[in-house]
Amino acid sequence: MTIRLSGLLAMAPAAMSQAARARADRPALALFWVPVLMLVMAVLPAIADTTPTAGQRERLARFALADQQPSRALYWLGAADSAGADYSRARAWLQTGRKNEAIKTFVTIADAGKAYGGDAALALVKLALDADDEAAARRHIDTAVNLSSGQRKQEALFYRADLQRRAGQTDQAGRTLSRMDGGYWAALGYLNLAADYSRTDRDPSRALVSLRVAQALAAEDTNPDRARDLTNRILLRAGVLSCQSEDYTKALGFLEKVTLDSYLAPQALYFDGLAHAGRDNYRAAMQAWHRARKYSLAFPGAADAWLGMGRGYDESGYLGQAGEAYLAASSAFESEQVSLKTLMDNVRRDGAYSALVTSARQDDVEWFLADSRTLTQPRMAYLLHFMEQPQAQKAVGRVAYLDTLARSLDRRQHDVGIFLKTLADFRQPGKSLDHELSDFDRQLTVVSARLQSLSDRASSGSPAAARLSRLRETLDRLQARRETLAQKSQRGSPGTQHELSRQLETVQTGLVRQQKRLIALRRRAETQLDKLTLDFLQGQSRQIADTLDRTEQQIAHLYEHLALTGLKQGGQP
Amino acid sequence: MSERCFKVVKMRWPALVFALAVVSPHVFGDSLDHDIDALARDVSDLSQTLYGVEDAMLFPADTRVAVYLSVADRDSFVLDSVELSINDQPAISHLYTDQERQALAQGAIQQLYMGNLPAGQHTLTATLNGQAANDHYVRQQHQFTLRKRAGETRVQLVVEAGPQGQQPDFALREWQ
Repeated sequence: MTIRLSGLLAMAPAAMSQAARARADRPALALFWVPVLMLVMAVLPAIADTTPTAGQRERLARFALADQQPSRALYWLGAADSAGADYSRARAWLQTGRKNEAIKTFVTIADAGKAYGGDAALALVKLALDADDEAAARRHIDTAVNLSSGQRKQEALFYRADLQRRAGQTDQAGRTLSRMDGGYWAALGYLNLAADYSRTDRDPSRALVSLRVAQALAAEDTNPDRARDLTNRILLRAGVLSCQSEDYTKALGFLEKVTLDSYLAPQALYFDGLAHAGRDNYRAAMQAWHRARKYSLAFPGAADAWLGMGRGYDESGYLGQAGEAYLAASSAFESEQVSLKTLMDNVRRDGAYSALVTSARQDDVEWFLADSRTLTQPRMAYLLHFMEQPQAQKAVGRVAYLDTLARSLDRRQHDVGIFLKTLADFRQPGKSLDHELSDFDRQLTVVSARLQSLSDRASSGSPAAARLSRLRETLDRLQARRETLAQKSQRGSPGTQHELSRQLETVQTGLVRQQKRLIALRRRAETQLDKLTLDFLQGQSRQIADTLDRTEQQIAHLYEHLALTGLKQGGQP
Repeated sequence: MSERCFKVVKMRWPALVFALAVVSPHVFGDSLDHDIDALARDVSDLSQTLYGVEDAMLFPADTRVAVYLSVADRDSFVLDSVELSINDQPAISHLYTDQERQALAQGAIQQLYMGNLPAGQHTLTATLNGQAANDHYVRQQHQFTLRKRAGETRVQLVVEAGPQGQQPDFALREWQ
């Protein structure tokens, strides 16, 4: 590097002399180097210092949070001190195990009543409701409503209505909901209100009106998947209420709109069949139940649909087919019991997370059939049914989080190993380049002065001025390369390497310690999940056993009826 | 006294076991969550330390180039994905989630790429895919010249509303 730099500097005077000879007829124009050294040295730090500003770091942190990288967000935020930074920091703390610090920060921001106050108050409401602390939620709900805007305000109003509903103030909740804009939150509020009305009222009219309003408001949701799921729930609820009040025509109007790719489809089809049966249209009822039988028995409604087929044939007078239908149902239930037993054995052997959660994912190439296959796979069906319970969601979430953390720690451990090896392999001579660089600086100063002198004499726009300009650029590049070399020399110094190695070794030790803790925690979390899963599957097995008993009773009744009918006919003259 | 205590325990142990069975999932669940939180805290601290060391080691200041991305006009364009090439070599591509799009619309900045380049002139090619204001799907490519000087170079790609709000435009700004 030193030789090349010196060579370039040696060339400069030669170039200057050549230019001087070529322009002998003009006022003596020799190439003098502009004294840019001091100027460049003064300017370079300004160019080099492009560290993000506090505002930029806050914006970078916001994206990191959206990208599910809370540690990276905390790295960007550093010690930044603004309402936005505090709010982002609190959100990152929530995701990295610092819940108490996060709550304190949210309280400070909410109490200040300024920027992000509404968001912070809403976060406090949700945290309080998660912890079943309605009193704490009520303390912050007004701030959340008053300081929020847009969808956040709608969400805050939903929680206000929900708190009123839980306190038994359904009229007040209804008034709050009536002031909301159309969309998901308002629809969800009316759905919850309808659930309360259906529990307290004998007449389902109020509940059905709420559900109709919810259906209209759900159509205004900008998220189509969420809107479709909520609408299916509303339609099913309305259909069941109508069935219970024996308004079968109304029930059919709701139930036939439930989409068949929904998790609720088997239940909707079963009730659809019940509604048809209520109108004595057993043919249509059996068509609905026949479609429901295609779904896994894990789904609510599917087992009842099997029994429904037998009942339908029975009511229609086809006793032979009724017997066959009941026998087919009995066979299906026995087969499902075997599947459940196999699943429970897999859970005991491999753990619930592996046997139920990860194995429910599709690994084959026919991913584009995922939607139609999802609901027919028993494992996925049991997983969806299991995940309806909040406790199950928490338990699975714990194991999934620890699984992700484990992979992240493995990756970091791998990276740190590479960094340490790189540092060990990095061989800088360690000798100082100061002497060579000083020599270079001296020569550069001389050449720069000569360029300046020549530039002063060259007329603007002339070919000589153009050549001088190009030489000035060359000088700039030389200076930049000199700086690069100085920095590399500094980086390669034993002191810097030692400091980096020390930091990396500390990180590596820390990672090993965290990996051991993680293994122990994961074992505990998986044990909890396994217990919950086995309890659930055993419950399902008992339900199938009960349904099997009912089927066998139906078969017994049927054969008893046939036997008595046969005896009567045999006894008649 | 001890015999009396033993009798009390002996009589009441079924109740104790029952209470433990009912309470234990909550107690153990809560203590497990507490321990997981403690682990998450320590891992986060380690991660932040490592980010600093990574930046110092992998991307030394003299060769560091960082490319950021932001959206100036939230209504002009729904960003689906972006691809970045440097000197005709693919550098990075990113597919955006709804949350990331929302964050960008609210003013967030994404660190799209961090790498090393020697001093001199380089070509930066950015291709963006998404939906324009008129609901048409758009794939646009822009080429920029990047001049790498000594020290860090940080540039920001800004997606702006194009003329007449139809097609979006890309601008490259250098951080000073």
